[in-house]
Amino acid sequence: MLNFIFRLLLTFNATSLILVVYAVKERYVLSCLFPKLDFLPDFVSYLVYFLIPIILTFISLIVANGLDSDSIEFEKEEDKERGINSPIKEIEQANNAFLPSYLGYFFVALSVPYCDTLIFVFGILFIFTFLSQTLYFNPLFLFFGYHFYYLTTDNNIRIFIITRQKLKDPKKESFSKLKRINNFTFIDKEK
Amino acid sequence: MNHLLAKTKGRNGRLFKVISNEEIFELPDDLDNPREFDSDYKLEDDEWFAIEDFSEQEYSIDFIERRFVSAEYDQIARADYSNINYLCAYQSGVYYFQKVGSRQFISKKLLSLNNLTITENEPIIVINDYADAIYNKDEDILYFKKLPVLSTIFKGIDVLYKEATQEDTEEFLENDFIRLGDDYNADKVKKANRKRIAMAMETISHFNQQEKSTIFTYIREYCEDLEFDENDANFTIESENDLKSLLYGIEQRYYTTLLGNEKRLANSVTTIE
Repeated sequence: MLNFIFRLLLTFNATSLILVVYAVKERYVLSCLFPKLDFLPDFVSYLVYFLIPIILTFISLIVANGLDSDSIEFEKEEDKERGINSPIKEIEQANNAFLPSYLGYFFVALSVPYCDTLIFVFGILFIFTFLSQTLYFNPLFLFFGYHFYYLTTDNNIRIFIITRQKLKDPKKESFSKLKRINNFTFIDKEK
Repeated sequence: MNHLLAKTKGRNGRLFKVISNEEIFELPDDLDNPREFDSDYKLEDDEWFAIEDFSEQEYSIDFIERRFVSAEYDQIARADYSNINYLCAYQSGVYYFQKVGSRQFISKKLLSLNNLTITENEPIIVINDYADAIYNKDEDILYFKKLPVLSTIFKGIDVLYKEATQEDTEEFLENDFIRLGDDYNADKVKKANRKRIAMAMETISHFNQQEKSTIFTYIREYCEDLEFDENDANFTIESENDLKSLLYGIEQRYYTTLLGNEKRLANSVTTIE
């Protein structure tokens, strides 16, 4: 159950920037909702909008601690020191893999003419992001120092890792504090 | 980190991850006195059978030969909970196996003595004090106490059953349900049947009285040549062939085809689930 809520939260975080971009494009400022805030310059409203997904991302990082643990470890401690029998075969950086899909989201937000169209489009994107399971790329994770990697394990199984570690050498990396988001996606809580 | 996996039953059965970060089994402290498997030997309480170079044996499984990475296994789905064949805990390089039979799977009504209400407990799986088998990857040794439990985990491990000794054979032929013909006795039992006797003795020891009589009815249905005495409830065994028919019956090797109702004998048997 926790896992389900967490995935909903992640999906929302990954897609919510569309709403922010749309609000900025349409110049919906806070004073429309709260007339008392009329004195604020527009950009403050936009910053507040932008802060919402960032805060939600921060919350999701805390919630992630409650997810089921997992690990990718060396079988023996001395193997790690000697850099042999590594459980990981290949590391591939995936930070920029989300750029195309993100640009897509932004252009959609900028070209949608009406609010109800936006809600419809956002709904569809939300559902597909949720179901696709691998597109939890949320660039806001970068704010918190997280990076995205594809790992291929020794048994040729590819998984997606969100981690603060800088990964480069497959022979030396191991993860002892992974949290399972879904069967392909894991978040590393090492640091 | 410790992990618990579960293997599901059926042709598409595979390993799933259950939980992590929990110690499920303790390493017994009496593994240092292992014995090579011998079906005639009865273990003392503090002894274990051991199979060395286990990963090179035919009945080893791929899962223990490959590197263990918990993230590779999918999380078990609720629908699979009742479909677990065995559990495997991975704890610092040691694999602990426990067979999950209907006995370990419990769903019962409970009478609470605090407020005298009946509640139905959620189904639980009982974790035994000791694992059925322990595999130490570093030493490449499999430790176990009872071989029959392992036959669904390590397919084909039953080859370790040796043929029955002369004593076993005599003991088996003295069973109430067997009446020996005049020219037939334990000395005449050949190697193939001795092997079958070793297995049948194990099989029949798990049957209760009612199951036994069910099996006898089943054998009579398929082996019309085998003489059965209604009063004494025994089969007359006069030759190697009679004995073979009886032993096949105990192993439930006879079956009838779904279409055509043809009676058949299964030459070899593999458990599907």
